[in-house]
Amino acid sequence: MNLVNDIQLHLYKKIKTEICDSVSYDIAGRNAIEVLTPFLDWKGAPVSFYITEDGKITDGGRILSQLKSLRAIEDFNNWPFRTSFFKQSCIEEIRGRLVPINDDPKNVLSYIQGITRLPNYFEPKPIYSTVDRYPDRVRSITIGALLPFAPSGFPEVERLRWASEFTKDRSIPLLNGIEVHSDMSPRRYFRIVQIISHATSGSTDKKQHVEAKILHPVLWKREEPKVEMYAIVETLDAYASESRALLRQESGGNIIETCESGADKEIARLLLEEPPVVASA
Amino acid sequence: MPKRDPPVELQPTVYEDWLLENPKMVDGGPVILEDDPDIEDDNAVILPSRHVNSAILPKDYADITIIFSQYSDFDGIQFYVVPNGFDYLIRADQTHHNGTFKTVEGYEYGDYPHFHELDYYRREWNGKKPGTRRRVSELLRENISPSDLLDAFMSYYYIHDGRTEPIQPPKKKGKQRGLDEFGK
Repeated sequence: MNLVNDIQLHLYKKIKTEICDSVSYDIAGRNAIEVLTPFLDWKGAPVSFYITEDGKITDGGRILSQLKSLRAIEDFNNWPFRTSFFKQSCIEEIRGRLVPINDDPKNVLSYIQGITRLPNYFEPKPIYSTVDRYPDRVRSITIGALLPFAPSGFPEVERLRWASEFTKDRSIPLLNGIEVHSDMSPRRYFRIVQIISHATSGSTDKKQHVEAKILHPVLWKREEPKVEMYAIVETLDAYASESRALLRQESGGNIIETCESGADKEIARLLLEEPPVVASA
Repeated sequence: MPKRDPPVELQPTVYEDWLLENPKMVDGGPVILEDDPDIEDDNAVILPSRHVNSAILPKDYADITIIFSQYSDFDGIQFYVVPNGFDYLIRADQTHHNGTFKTVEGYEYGDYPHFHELDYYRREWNGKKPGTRRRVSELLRENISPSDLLDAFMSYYYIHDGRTEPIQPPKKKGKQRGLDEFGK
């Protein structure tokens, strides 16, 4: 026989009271109340929902707003388990708000657990400078390395402008109407310089970025075999072996890793190198 | 976002230092609010999350500390600075409907925009969780717009995105430009 003893009953009642006492409400805007629950969300904060003055239960658009802000909304929209998760959690989406399918308390409990768990399934994708600013960093160190080679008679401002010209993008129109881009403007016209960034992005983004960068020299080479590609990268170690192999193959080994000392001088050299002299007939 | 590891706790002293740090940098380009085309409320804007760069927070926290927003129909917009798997460090609330609140300095406010800071020295919830303290900056005012709230939040906590001009509110139902172009 399994009788409940006093200790067990005491503990059970204490826990039950604690859980019930953890549910409270606050006044919210538009005559709604906000119900605070003991469940914790992805950042460890209590999850809440709203009851409107006409008795509707809703998250007020908060969950999807969070997913949008965390740039995870596309993952959510393409989530294959979305329908079954919503069904299991008694959640309905109505015009950007998550609401329970009805106000049956059991369903509402599933709904609360559902909205608590939902953001946990998706990775946030903050905007990182290491993705976006690496090209700027490369340009900055390159200008520094180029300045000593500026014509000595130039005033300081002109020297800076002279060096900056080499670090600007260059668009190359192809015969088939497509335009390809070089991230810098070397003296040798058929030299294309690609700055490979996105070192801290997700593996898929990184792979796609490398492929997109490789595409430009590949397209140009189809028209003009003497095109040579240079890749500037912080460190090859940050990329998958597949991407590294692609970079090595298409650049013919012309890869400059800026984590290495002397990389700035090497970039300056490839930009300043004069075009080969063509022998006249 | 998935918190497969249990929430972690920062050391109070580290957190205090973090708040005092000047400045914190927002990585990933200018901070711009974007309209939410799905919601017919002019205040329904969002801030796409950014990495907040801090030299003082331990690397494991600093690398994953982000600033982001959440909007609800009933409380307006809130901005958060959170390390991954942890409650917010600081927060900006557009409204406060639930009676009055007191700031650290002892001033009392009603429905007024304010900032929250986690307070490790004021224990609540049976000592399990840190309390919060509220602050009201001179930059805040009643019925503040989301962009002005964000502006005030960033100024008050020395969070910089490299710009000097104020954050511009999004044009009504117009798609903000600038983020996609940044860094290209």
